[in-house]
Amino acid sequence: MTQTQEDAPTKLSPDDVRQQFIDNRDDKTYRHAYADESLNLSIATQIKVLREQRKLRQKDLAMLAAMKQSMISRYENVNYSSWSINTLKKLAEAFDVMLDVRFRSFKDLVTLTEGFSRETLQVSPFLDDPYFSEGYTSRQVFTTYTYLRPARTKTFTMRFVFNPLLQASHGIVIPFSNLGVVRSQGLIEPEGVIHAEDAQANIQTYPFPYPYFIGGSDTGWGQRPSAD
Amino acid sequence: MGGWKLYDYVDAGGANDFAAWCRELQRPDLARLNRKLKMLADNGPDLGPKLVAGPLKGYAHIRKIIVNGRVALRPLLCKGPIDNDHEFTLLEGAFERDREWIPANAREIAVERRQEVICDSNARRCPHEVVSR
Repeated sequence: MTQTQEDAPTKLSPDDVRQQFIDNRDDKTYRHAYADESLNLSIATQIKVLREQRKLRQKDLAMLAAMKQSMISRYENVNYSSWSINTLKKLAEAFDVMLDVRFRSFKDLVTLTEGFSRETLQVSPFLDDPYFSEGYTSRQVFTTYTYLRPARTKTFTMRFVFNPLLQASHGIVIPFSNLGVVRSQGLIEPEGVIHAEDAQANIQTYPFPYPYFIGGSDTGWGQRPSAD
Repeated sequence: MGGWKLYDYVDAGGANDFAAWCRELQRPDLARLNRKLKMLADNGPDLGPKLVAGPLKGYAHIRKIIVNGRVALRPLLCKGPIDNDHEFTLLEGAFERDREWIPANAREIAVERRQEVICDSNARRCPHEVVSR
């Protein structure tokens, strides 16, 4: 069926936003309010898009950014407007992307508005960026997290939470073979419980920049040693 | 996702009531509204989180767009009502102040208007008119 003019989406001419600014050339409150609304829309939407691109839940992102899940929910709202640079820096680090804050012309706003889409908002994390992959040789070194059992304890239970960024992008197999009893093996689950009877156990992980273990029971965990 | 088609409700006399409401807004508020409506038209309701709120409690098909400018604009709209996957129809311009709707019966008006559009979509709506000044 041929799409008629009447059926066409409400996509005005490329000059739509430009024309609005021209119509209100004598009153800068229009363009500044438009820019402010665009900023709020853009930040809230991009946080959601980047989170979904990385297959993170809100609580996963909250953990990575050291925030409460309720705050992530608040930020993923196009009606939110109380942004702080520090909050955005934290989120940028959690997404492993750079934050770019700069003054721009209204011509740029027209271009950005017309090109606004999920695709233009997506940004690869550093490790998935081919630009930085060429020439990189992965070091075959394990990082060890040692569980220090409480005194006189023969058994222990550890809650673990894996970094979902790692799970999403690498699908790593857990090297749990050196645990006495392991309940969870195979592909990484985002969270779970390890039951072990051998207090000598340690867990080895590959040296990715994101730690495997980003939360959970912290009693007894040793410090992550240096990668070398 | 392709664009969505936005329509404005047209009254029995052929007047675009929503466009008339827009013309009464202060320019900064109108700018904020226009930005959100463009987002809705270009990207649909799902890309921008909470861009379209609702359906409103007790008003099954009526939704609102929240625009917090100098005043709290709450334009009421519905999906479709002819093609629910590709259209929104702007039914009523409204405000909220101290959790009260202005006009007080804005949601009821929106429900009635939606029915009028369903009964005669050719006569009771028109492509959305962008008011910018």
